[in-house]
Amino acid sequence: MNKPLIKTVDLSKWYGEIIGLNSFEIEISSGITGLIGPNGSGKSTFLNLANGTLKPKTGQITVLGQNPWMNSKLMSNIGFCPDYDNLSDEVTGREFLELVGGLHGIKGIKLKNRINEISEVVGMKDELYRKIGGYSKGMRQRIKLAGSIIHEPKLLLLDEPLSGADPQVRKSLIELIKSLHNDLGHDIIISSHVLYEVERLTNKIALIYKGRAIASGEISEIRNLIDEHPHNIIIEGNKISDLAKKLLDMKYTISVGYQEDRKIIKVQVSKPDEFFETITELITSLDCEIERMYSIDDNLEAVFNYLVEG
Amino acid sequence: MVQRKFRCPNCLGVETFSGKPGEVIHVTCPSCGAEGKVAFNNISSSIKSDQISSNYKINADNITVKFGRITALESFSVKIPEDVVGLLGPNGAGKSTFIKVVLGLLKPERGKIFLTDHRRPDNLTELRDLIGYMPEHDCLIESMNAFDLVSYMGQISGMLPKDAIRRSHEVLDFVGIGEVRYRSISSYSTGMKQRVKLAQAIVHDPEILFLDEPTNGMDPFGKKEMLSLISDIAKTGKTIVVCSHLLHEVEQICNYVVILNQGRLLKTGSMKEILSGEKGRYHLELRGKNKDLEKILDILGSKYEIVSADYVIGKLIVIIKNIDSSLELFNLIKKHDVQIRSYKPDKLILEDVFIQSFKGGSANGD
Amino acid sequence: MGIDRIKYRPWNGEKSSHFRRVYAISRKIFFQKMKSKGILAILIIGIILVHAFPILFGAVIPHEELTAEMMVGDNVLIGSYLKNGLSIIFILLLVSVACSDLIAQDLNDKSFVLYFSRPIKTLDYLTGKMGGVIGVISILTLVPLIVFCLVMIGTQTGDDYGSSLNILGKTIIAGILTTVFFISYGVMISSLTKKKTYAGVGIFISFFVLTTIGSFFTTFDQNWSLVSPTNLLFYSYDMIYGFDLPTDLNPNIFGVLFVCILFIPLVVTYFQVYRIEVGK
Repeated sequence: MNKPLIKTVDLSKWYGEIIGLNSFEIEISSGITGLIGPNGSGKSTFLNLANGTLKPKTGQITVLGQNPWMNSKLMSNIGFCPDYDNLSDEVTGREFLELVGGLHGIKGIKLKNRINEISEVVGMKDELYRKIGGYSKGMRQRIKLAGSIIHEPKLLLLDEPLSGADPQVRKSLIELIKSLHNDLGHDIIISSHVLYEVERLTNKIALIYKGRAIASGEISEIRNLIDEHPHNIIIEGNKISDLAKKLLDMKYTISVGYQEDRKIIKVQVSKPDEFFETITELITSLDCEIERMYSIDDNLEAVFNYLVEG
Repeated sequence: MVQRKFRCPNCLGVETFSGKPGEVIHVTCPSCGAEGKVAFNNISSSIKSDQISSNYKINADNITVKFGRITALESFSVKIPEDVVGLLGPNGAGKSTFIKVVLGLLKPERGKIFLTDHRRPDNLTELRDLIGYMPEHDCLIESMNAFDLVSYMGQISGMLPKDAIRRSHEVLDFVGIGEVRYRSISSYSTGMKQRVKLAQAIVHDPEILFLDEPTNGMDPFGKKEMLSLISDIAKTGKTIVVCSHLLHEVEQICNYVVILNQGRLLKTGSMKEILSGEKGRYHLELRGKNKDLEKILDILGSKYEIVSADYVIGKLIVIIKNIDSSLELFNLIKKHDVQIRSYKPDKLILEDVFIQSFKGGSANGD
Repeated sequence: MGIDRIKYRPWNGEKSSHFRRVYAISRKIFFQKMKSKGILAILIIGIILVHAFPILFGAVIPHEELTAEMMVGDNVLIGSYLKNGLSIIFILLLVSVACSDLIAQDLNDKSFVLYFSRPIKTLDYLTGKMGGVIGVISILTLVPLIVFCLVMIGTQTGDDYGSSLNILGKTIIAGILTTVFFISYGVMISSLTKKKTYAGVGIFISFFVLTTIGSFFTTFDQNWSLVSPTNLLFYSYDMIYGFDLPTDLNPNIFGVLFVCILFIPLVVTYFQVYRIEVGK
């Protein structure tokens, strides 16, 4: 139970001069785990190392306790949904699934039943007869997902399944992925560059940046990470100059400045968490009426920016 | 007092006016005598341009395009203002088709496109002259280097070689391509290729720009840069049409929105109009332990009218109506062990508007 | 980012004429090709092997004037100057290499949109591209011929410059014909595939195939020789210089096939690219 799904030790992979993963260390346990990092941070490299398509240059990776490289037995327990789309436009959805199923050694009646099952799960049952060329982007994602679960793998690796999708499609795909775990019991690792989407799927996040594992843990820990770097906070209201003066006395304040007009200030704080703990009290003690207050840096992008500059 | 350059929508000449930052003044164009308003942006970090445009730039009238039995555009009429305009819609909605019609690459079965400053390009080449296009897909000539390609395209756009060369360097500096401009494009990363695509679209300084998914495949830093490049270009008075499915980006830089689906126009309006919420309606984000959040939600519910509450672990987002006094609310919350992480007037985010426009779309969310 | 942020500056320069835009394409193609080591090698070796000897020979051997015979007739030492298999092979090689990526590259890179979002139509695009490549090919098909003629005229013993210049004029026509003859075909093949290697090989091989079919079937009916493009070209040389077609050839068939091989590829190419202009 406590054995990790995926474990890496000092895992590195490079392509000529380009580094994909750099001494990457991570332990992923069961459930849904989000792997978040900007484009080019190494997510696809990691997933390809995990599904045995790539071989590490140094270090090791174990998936379900085994080395995935050239391990066809392990492959049958892993489902992979890549971010690129190389579906052939000329085949129908059904033909595609038959092909994929056949590659996994499923045939005959078993294949037929399986196809019906999974097409129901992904909501494509009525569209199987159509050629893939006529599918919308959302439908293509669904059929790709179906192809990745057809052999009932224990572990699903989904590489940016929500990218390029319209908001509606994204919402329905999120529901689908949730049900794959909750109803069908798959363990899922999903990579994305948007925290907002993954937040709705799971509590367990790993951050990757420039090929390195930055942090992993629960969302609250990630939020603490976001709080570890300085935040810029915008406050608008009346008596704002009084508030500004009081803020200048606080130890966590780095700077306070006026924005646009003297009703809006921007406060830079070194310890955001402390700031938010005390600001409500500060505001009410001055009887300030606040029109708005928010932090510009309360997101992952700010963390990555910070890492770039810092 | 600052001096800024503005483009007169009537005679298209570039004129200089003085004013105070944040001011909007009435002016008369010295070249052609047309009257209008100009707005002086603040020099702050705000990315949006507040320039007021009184003219529509492109007028599409009743465009219908069919491919066999598939109707790509159906009686599509839209007036695109001289501003940064977001062209939104799901894949297959007709956005690319529309761009092709404007570029003259597709002939519509019915309908016309013309510019409303009383010029109706009689031949299509005249219209193409005014347009720069940044396609979504890979389209760069891999065997050339960025500098070669951009100056080549400049010449094809009608620039003299020496102008094209100088301008190519200028534009490559602007988009952030440095020494690497002398290396073959096949060695470029996606982000660099996007920049080069932008560079070739602006090398001849067209009045109208069509940018199709400009931040595609770029890392977050690159995306931010691209967006501010686009805003920069907008300050010179161009009409920029941005096609994107990344709504939060569109929200950041566009002042006007056109939403379409299945070849039809769904909604159009300025960003302010589309996103305006009601007065007294606020968006509140609270953080704390789950039990404290549950408690505060109950308390808020008994005192205020709650429009929606979204709960992710450790975080609670509430939208509340009819708030008269923030002080009252803050005093109430102060008594409990939760942090107010953000408090702001509730405006719709573009995503909500987008999804709402599609109520009545097909079942599997396409 | 920082105070030194580079701002966008508008450009208000003068626009060039339409011709210059097309010329820009030609110029780019021309210089691109001329920088290629392969093409330079073919040009140099071709000129040396095919033209150096005749030019030297012609300058040294005394002659009264430049005649048509010297151009197309059989010479005991070098065979025919113009109707020369080796010459055709080199021209074919050059055309295959030079034309292979002309349009194939744009098909591969999908860069048509960069052209057609500008005030360029299919015709301009093709004119530009072909113009550039004509410049390159004519270095092998036209320039050495002109040099030969000028050398012959310069070293002739007779006084009749008029008729020599007349032959020079006809030679120029022959040279231009040769250039266009191959290029129209080469460009068409380039527009049919994304891979320039396929295109290059395709141009080369298909010509050989046609030539072989032509010579094979000649045993049945002399008119079959017209299927070979090489023969079509050689017979046209004859006609340019004022000689008649061989009597057992049907002049109508000749005329039709000649027009076909010259114009049909151009039409096909035009439609290939036009489809892309309006489809993309």
